[in-house]
Amino acid sequence: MDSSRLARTTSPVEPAYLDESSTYLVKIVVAGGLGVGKTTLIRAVSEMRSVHTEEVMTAASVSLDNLEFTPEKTTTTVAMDFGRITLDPGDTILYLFGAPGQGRFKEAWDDVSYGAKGVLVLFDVRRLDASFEALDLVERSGLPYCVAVNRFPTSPDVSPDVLRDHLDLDADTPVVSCNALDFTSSLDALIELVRHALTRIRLDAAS
Amino acid sequence: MNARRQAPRTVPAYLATGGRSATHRNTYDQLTRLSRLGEYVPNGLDSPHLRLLEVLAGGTLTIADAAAFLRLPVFVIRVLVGDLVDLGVVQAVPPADLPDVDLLERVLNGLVKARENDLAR
Repeated sequence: MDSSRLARTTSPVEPAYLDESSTYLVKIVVAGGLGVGKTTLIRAVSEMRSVHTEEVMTAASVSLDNLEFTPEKTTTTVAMDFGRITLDPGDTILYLFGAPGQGRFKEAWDDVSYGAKGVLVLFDVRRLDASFEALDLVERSGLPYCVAVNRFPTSPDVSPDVLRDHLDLDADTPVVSCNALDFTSSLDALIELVRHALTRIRLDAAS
Repeated sequence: MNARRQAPRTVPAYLATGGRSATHRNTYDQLTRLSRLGEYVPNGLDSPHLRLLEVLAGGTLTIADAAAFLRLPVFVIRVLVGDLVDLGVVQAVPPADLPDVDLLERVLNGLVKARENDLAR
């Protein structure tokens, strides 16, 4: 691997102009460690190509970024990674922003999470620790979140309760299983998150 | 993709703002919507400001989408927007003017419909 830092940027060919009818823009963040499937999920759901700035990993960062289970991954997303989906009846657009996976990017997290209505925290059960930092940042933000376990082909089956216990989650924090490659499955995880966020708002209002 | 944007950036991002990294308006969400106000182009604008004005001539963009297209960091776009709003040539509109509960209801209904439509196919 080349040890120099090479920037690789993918820019949209055309500006992503908004329709006049798009009155409500809503942001949801997809958080999680390196290689757990954030970009995959955003791509699976988005109608617009996910746009991002990537940097080829340096030799120096390999020791920090544990890629034992995802050796094919050679880059880490450090800047913007987002997609959007226009929701029926067309006046609402949901933006999904990927949050950088490593604590080194705390400032980027603050920026990405600003104004977000909820966070989907993605985990890979084969290496739960990859998303610990992300979960920590999310918990401290106070935003409503849902834990989603991305099913990789070699993932062992882990029951949500075991996971909840292991991650020390509140009893009301939803834990779902999803396949980040799949549109419907990823939508289900987002639906669970939005339901949870609504429940939390209503409970807060009632108390 | 055209040749102009394939070329490497000749001006470092931090110089696109004249060395500033923050704007006095710190309220610009990544989803703030930007649009042109009229066709007036003030004299003396530098290239990054002009490029933003130029792209907004074609329609409304969010700050995130403008940053992606112009290949500039979001913080740079925020500074440029602050300047252009002060000059009265760009309008910056917050992403949504509804309580969270209403926004989330819209999102929930929309996601459920998207899911049903997908299963029906």
